[in-house]
Amino acid sequence: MIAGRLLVLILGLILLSPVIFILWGAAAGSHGESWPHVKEYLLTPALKTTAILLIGVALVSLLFSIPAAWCLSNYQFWGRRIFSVLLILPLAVPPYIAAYITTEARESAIPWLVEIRTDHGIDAYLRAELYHRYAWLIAIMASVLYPYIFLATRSVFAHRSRQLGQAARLLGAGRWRRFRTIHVPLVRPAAIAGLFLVCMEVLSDYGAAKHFGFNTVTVVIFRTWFGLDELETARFLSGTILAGVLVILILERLQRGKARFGEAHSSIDSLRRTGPSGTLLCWIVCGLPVALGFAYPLVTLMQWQSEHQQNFVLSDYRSEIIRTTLLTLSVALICILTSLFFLAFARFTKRRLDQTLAQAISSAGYAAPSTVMAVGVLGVASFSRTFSSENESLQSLLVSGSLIWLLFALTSRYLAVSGQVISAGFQTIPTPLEQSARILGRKPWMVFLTIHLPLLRAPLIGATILVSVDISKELPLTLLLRPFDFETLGTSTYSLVNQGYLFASATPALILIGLCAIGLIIVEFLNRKK
Amino acid sequence: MSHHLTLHNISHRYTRRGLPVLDDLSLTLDPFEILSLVGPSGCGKSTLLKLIAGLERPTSGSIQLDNEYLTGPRRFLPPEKRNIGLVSQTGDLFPHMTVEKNIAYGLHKWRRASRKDRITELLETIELPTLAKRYPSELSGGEAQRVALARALAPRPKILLLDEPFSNLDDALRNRLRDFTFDLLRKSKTSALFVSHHQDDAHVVGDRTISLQKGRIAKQA
Repeated sequence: MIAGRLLVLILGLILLSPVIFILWGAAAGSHGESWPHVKEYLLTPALKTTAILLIGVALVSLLFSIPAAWCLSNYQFWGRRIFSVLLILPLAVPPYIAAYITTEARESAIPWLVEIRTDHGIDAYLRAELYHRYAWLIAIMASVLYPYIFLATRSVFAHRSRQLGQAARLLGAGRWRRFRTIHVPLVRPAAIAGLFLVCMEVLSDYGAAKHFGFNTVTVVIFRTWFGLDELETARFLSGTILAGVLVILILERLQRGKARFGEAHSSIDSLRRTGPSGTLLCWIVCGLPVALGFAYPLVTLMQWQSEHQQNFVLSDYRSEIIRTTLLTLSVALICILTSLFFLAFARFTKRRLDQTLAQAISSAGYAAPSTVMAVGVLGVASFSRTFSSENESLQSLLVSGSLIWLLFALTSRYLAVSGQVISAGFQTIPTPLEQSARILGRKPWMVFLTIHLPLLRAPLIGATILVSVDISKELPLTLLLRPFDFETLGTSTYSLVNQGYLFASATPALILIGLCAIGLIIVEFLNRKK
Repeated sequence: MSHHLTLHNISHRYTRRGLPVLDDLSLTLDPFEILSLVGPSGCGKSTLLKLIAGLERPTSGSIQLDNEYLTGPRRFLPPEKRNIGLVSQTGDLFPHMTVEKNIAYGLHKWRRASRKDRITELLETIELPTLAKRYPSELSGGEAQRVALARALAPRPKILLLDEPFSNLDDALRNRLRDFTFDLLRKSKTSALFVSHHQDDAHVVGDRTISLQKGRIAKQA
């Protein structure tokens, strides 16, 4: 067990080295020459913009997700089963692609904005234009990110909330009292956990905010790094953001308390059947987020494709598809093996400290937004080069092999995703099963191979797909750390839009969304089977 | 083979400052004996079985099987090396393995031919020879408990621990399965420690009955 503990610590230190590097830099207070300039002219407005986006996206995501989760878990209406799959599909659309497709629709507001300028002057025009951009970006980001909250709250509504609501009803609680004393407290931890994921995505976003001309903190880190060529200041900035996120993460964990969520699905015959008006209402509540977050991007991209890219051949993007698949699957594999190691260790060791340590290591990387992680990995890379300066072959591998750093950064960041899915899988395996196996003469590693692994098959497939989907959609890390001329479907889409070929970006975007959507549908069916 | 189990001054608490679940408890299990342990919920019955099986380590005291210390001041033999069988309330059959594979699980060190013979013998003993290829989800409650018993007996354990194995069954089935199990144990000359909260069960099957209360022995009969 001591060897295992040591291995967990070493692996943890390696995986968290980018985070440690950044926090250490921030704590030491070392920043570059441009810091006063960045602080005065960039940081304050960027913090304000980021805060507006975070609050806006959080509120609209709640509005999209909670009523839809409530309808699906409480009412039986025509199309319910289809909606339960459709409602998660917006996760297949990366926020930057969702932002690109709004370009034409946003342009239709130009006459209205011109009218404001003519009638009310330039100040009113600037304000209206800013609000217009904010409204679009908040709506479009919320429409592709709300599934994080939807997925977290659905199972609570489907099982505990309804069951306890019925018990409260028998005890004479009215509708409002049930809502206030049963449903809200039960769903709050899950909703906040989902909200945290939404906020992390907003913080990590680079493509969408940049396309809308907003300077968020992530965009400022990019600009400090590339525009001002000041990695030291970018590191200090990243450290400050990371410290803030870690505080929020700890608060989020604390608010969860001892809440545990079942994965149970509601049985259809116990759901209330809706009348025609109820069905219509359910359709609106469930249909609106799907229409905005999935149908709208898909239809627009298909339209661009048919109008501007008729001579499209799939083989044009063969190398991007292969690279995306290889990159995502290799990171997924590393993430899964690492998570399995950490979680199996946490399962077998009886010490609470070991369990907390293994779980903290596997989830801490997610607290670093992509750009922050990239800054950290680059710092670790430069440190390892200095360290290996005497060994030429090792140094050349570290210098030329930025693919290694990309793999490392993605693993470090997305380990939490596989960890969460596999950990949920472990929780469904009753401890007496492994105790029986031990009593029947098997050593811990044999118990892991013969009992845990076969029973974890579905969560392992689920984790592989979810990590792959997340990495396929990921942009900032890949953009910053990829080797020269290494294009994935995501970076291709970004590059084409960046070069002004908006319509041409439809092809890689459609392939990317298609692949992610297939993955998500498989995961949904795996969960249902379970 | 006859085996003799001795527990010396066993105390156990789950948290450092919590109340002791077992408090300075000593008992012996003689060769070929079936000892019944009764007591209200939370009196420490199941904890005692876990300590004997090696699933928990006592806070103090020692456990001795024949001349070997399983648990002592500086010794702790892991459960896989004790050769002690356990049948729990829920049976805990491996859901992804057939009946046959569940029974074979503890026989991994046996030679293939003898393993096969042992499985056939046990399936006949528990009167379920046709269910070898079934999965646990395809068994009734009584069948599942009989398979759990066969699985525990398969590696010829030195001692068998039974933790309320019939409490999930209806009365008629419980009585039938109880008589069946203890006939089997007596025939195979296996010493057993049987935990139950049914006083009747304990008196019917046990050679001796011990009542536990608040982690201590309240009565012996």
